[in-house]
Amino acid sequence: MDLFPKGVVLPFQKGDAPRHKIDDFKASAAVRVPLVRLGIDTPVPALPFDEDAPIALGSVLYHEDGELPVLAPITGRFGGTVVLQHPQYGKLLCAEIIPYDGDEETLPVRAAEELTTEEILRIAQDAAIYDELDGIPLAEKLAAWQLPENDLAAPTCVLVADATENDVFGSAAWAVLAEEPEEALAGLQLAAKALNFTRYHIATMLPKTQRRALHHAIGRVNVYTVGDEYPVTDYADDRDEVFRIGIQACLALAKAVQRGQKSLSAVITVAGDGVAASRNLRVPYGTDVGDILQQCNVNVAADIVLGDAMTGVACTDIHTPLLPGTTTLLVMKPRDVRVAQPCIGCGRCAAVCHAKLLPYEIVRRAENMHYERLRRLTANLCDGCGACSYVCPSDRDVAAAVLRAGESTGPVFLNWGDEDDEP
Amino acid sequence: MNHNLAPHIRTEQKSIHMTLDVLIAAAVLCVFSVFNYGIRPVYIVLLSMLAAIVSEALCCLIRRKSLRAMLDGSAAVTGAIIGLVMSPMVAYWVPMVGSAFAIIVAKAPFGGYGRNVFNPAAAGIAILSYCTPRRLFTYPAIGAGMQLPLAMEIGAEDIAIGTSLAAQIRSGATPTVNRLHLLLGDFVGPIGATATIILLACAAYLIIRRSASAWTILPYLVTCTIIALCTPCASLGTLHSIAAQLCAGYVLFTGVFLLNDPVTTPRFWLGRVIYGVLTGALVMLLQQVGRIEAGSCFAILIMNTLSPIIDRWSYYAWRSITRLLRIRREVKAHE
Amino acid sequence: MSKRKTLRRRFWQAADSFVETAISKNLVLTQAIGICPIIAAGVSLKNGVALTVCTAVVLLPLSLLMPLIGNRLPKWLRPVLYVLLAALALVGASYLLETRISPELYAQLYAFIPLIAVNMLRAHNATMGHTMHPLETIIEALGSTLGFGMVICVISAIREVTITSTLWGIPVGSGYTLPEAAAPFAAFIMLGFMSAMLQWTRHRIAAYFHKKEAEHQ
Repeated sequence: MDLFPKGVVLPFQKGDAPRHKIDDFKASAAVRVPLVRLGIDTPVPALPFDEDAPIALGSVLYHEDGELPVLAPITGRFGGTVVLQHPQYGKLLCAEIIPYDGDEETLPVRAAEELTTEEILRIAQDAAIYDELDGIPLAEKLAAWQLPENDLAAPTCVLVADATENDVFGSAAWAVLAEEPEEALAGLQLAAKALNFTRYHIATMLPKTQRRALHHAIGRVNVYTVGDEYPVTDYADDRDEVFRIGIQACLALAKAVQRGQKSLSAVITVAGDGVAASRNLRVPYGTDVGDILQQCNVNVAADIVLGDAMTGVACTDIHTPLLPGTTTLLVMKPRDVRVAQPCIGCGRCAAVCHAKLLPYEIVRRAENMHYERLRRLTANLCDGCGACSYVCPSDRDVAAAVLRAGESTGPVFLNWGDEDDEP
Repeated sequence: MNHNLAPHIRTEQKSIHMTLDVLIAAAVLCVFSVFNYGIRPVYIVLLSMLAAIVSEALCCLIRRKSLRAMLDGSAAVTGAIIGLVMSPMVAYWVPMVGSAFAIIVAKAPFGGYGRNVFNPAAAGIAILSYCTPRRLFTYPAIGAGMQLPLAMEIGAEDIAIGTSLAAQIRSGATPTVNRLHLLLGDFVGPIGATATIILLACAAYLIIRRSASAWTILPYLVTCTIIALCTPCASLGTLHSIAAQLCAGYVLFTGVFLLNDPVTTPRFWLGRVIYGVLTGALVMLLQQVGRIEAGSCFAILIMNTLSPIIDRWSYYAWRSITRLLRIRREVKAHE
Repeated sequence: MSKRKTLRRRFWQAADSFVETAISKNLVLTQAIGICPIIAAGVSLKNGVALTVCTAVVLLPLSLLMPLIGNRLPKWLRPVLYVLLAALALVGASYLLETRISPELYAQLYAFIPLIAVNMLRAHNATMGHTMHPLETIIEALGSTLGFGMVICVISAIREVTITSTLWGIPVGSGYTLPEAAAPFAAFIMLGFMSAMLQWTRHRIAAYFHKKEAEHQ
């Protein structure tokens, strides 16, 4: 029903990274693994380790009931616990592991055919697989979507392994898909089996030559090519219901089942205009961002962003551990601050909004504190893709304002004011 | 703009590019008029722009804003548009007064660029055409390579006076301009509003550069064409009659320059379509009736007051229609 | 509380209400009541003054009368009675204007005098609902009259100078005239600017007191 395709075509700056092999990253500084997110009065857990105790790769550091086990992403010695502030997750209690050579702990290997759905979820749980799209445990996501066997809705439900990477810099999923396509597909099939879905495919927007190789490797049927617009809205045909998991999570599931490997690392792209050439690295969870940047020869004075250009979170402390849910580490040259101008009403934000909102109207209503009108504009449907801010010719932070308006549809909106006059 | 907030890259197309595009289009029209009337039209447009920029600076000083705010080019655009609809023989002070009025009365008190309710250029033209219609609508007869004198005022006795196309159509007479001259802009009229082919090229340029929206221009032109088709000029072919009515007065010029001020038009595409259609109807109506020869600026002013309502209502209407269609589709799929 | 103190408080209350209705909550500039006579007839100072006097003639007796008899009537009858009484007062006023002052002025204004009655109905709508002391209403009526009079006199004086280069019929200024100022849009623009000025001044005063208060704490 759309007269215009929604979304915006971004300038791709992925460079050569998706065509190169993924480099293995060896941590040189202490790796910090988050144990619990600290609330106001969360009890601090006691760890069954002494100082300097040897820790095997993949061994369970801490396991709270109902949560994923916290695994050691590297082999090393236990270096105590530390509390730190993470830009995405808030205050975290972390265990420090100092890198050291040693053993690896694995899961028992099972044949994929004889696994039941519960056993697949169990393995996803034990291998501590996180979905890299949003940092949610894979087992949790799958359990929420699970259909009963022979369900009527199954033909319209599609499980999509998201390897699109249609943001500006990120190319981790492309590299993963180019390196191990069969395993990724096997993982997707396992996940579909766990959900009792009959339909699944890998969504990607690889360049033509790589796409041909992928078709050759895993078959054309299993690959779905999405459009160029950001954000992606066509993960499957128009009428299907889409369930999305990350391609790296699929790969981790396949490896956990076939080889018994636990999920201990993520492939991330180090990119941005602050690095000479973007590259993909396989980095253990909890690795220090500063350590990664040092090994990539990056000037530390640059602006660091966890995540990609459109949705990433600015990171002020360089000693932040890299956690599941991040696949891009952006290094931007320090930019000059431009003052936001008044809205000139070009309407581009409404033209690119894939949720079919009116961002300019929401922002105006929120600024003028017309909350009763705000409810009709359904600002809560905004998913913060940032396309409106990207196209705004007046340099306004539209997406941030819409998100704020969506969260607070009451008089809690206190930072009201005419911000666009003078700096 | 906060660097800690996503997204961390922005598009390179800024609002200043939009105003620059309009200024480029205006410059092309100015060059065209040099061939018809000599250098005088360029002076008129430049002085009009100067008056607008000086008024903007004055308003910035009064509001204690930094003078950087006037560098966005919107004042220059207002001045250029007012200059372009003047008669080539108008006294220099007329467009300057219009520009000053546009900025000081129609723009600055509302809060400047981005907050004005009325299109400042349309307000300036409206006030001039109301107060000094004789100066505004007395046009020199056109001749190849003519050089208008550069004096402050040109009296009607100094040069040959022509009857403009709009006046001919209003009086019910058969327009004397043939089709080729209509296309080439070789007929009596304002500085920039006669160059049909250049105006169309400007429209295409602005649409391609996304400085103007095709959602307003095309419905506007289509509506004007349909109305022109329904009210043919006597003893002219259908096509010739339509072309003559579209070229008369400010009809085409309004579509390209006045209609596309982003601040005062609706922002949702359906709202833009409705706005274009209604403005087209109103422009053609005011072209035929009313006291003033070129009523399109009044049409723009009237529609400006309605544009926020059109915008909102069209959005809500569109959303309910899509929701209904979706529900119907789901019900069908369920059956 | 002593009698003197009460009296003083009453006086300040009355002054406050007078200033409020005349200036800071000026009916014309804040609620756009009574702009029709200003726009159509306010083209010379004489007209302005005549219209102000007419307003006073309607408002003052009625504001005295309505609190006295209005409360004994049902609510729906009050506006009817008000309009009838206003029309009665205006008949007297226009008779006076035609026979004693100037028939030409009456000829210019006769269409707009009845409008005043209806316009002032809205002005007094708020106070008609509940009981008020006649003294309070008459102070408000004085304030409204003064507010209306100031706006119409300023606008009509400016317009007279612009249109005919005279003020109260006496030639002033350069002699350069702009007859278009008699058109309604000129009065609209002037009203808009005056209203904006009033709003701006109110904001400035509020900001000043806000600042003082912050400093005090």
